[in-house]
Amino acid sequence: MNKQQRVLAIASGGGHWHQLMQLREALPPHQTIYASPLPKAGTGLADEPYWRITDGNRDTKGKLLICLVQLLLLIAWHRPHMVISTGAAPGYLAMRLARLHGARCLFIDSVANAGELSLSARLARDSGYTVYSQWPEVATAEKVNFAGAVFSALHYKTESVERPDREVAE
Amino acid sequence: MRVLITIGQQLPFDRLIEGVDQLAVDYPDVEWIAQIGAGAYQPQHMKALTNVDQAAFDTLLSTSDMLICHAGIGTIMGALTLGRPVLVMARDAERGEHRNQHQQATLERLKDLPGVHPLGQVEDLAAVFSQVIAQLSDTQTQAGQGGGQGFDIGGADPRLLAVVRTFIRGDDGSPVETSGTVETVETSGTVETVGTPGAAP
Repeated sequence: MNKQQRVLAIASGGGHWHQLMQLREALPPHQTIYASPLPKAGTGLADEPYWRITDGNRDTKGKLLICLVQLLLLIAWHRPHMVISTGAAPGYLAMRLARLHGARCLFIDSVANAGELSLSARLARDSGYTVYSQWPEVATAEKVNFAGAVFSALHYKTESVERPDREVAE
Repeated sequence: MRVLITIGQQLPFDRLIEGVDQLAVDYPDVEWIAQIGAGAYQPQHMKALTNVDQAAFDTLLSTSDMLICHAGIGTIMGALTLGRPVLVMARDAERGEHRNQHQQATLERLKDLPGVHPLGQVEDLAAVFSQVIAQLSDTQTQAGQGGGQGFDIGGADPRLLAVVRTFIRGDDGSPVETSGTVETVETSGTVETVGTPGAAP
């Protein structure tokens, strides 16, 4: 990637954020902007650029509207070239907005969605973004991708599958 | 000691709530907080909350020593990442506790993870609970302060990390729209755009 390219990594609180942090080692340290509803002290981040946003979902449309305005500001300010999210609604909204100026989008659905894709992941899939489920059965049924889970013990320990060697850090 | 109980936001699970309420009689020193949803059974020995939003739940969980819950994956993984042991009972569709038996499948899948203690039936509660209490006090004796360490449920799957790295490099075949409006010069002062050795292999 070009050294000036920027990544927006965005997730809701609780499990969504924790799952995003599990992917942190793959995110470029000086080119990633983070966003979530958590106070920064609760994120585990140090001096990375961080925006605290309002969380909303289909049942709290007012909050979702505030979130939309915040994301408009965030994206107008940073102009991310890529958006990566582990859900839920704010991640999808950020993708829609960033896509308007050509950003590429990667949506990894929460591990909690073991039976079917979340609404946000389905919308992301139908918008043409790259979507991954953390469950192989869901990925097959919903025609999205699968490449394991953010907690590798989930599949390796329970399926008695030999865990592949971790990639050597560069 | 505080024990948190949750059965999720959707369907009642009175069998579990009633069972834990009976258990609470034997442990009056424990602070019991139960999210009971739309259940008909009103706990007599626990503080009962109908529903708790995500932020409040995260706070409650991080200040609790243990979680007792239905077999919801997000709830279980959330507890494990915070290092809280979790006692799990699956909803049984034959008892009308859910629309299908997927919670049984979930528990079967997660039961071997460190920190997960499956409950086959309500009658198992007392024995499993006392066993987990004993483990907790062992941990506290050894480490001085229990909890917060997280169970070893693995880092991200190397395949998934590779997907993220490839995506960021931009050679994953997904559409790259090189719109002329995308500026390549950063003008904001808040983003560091200096070289990042190793970021782009």
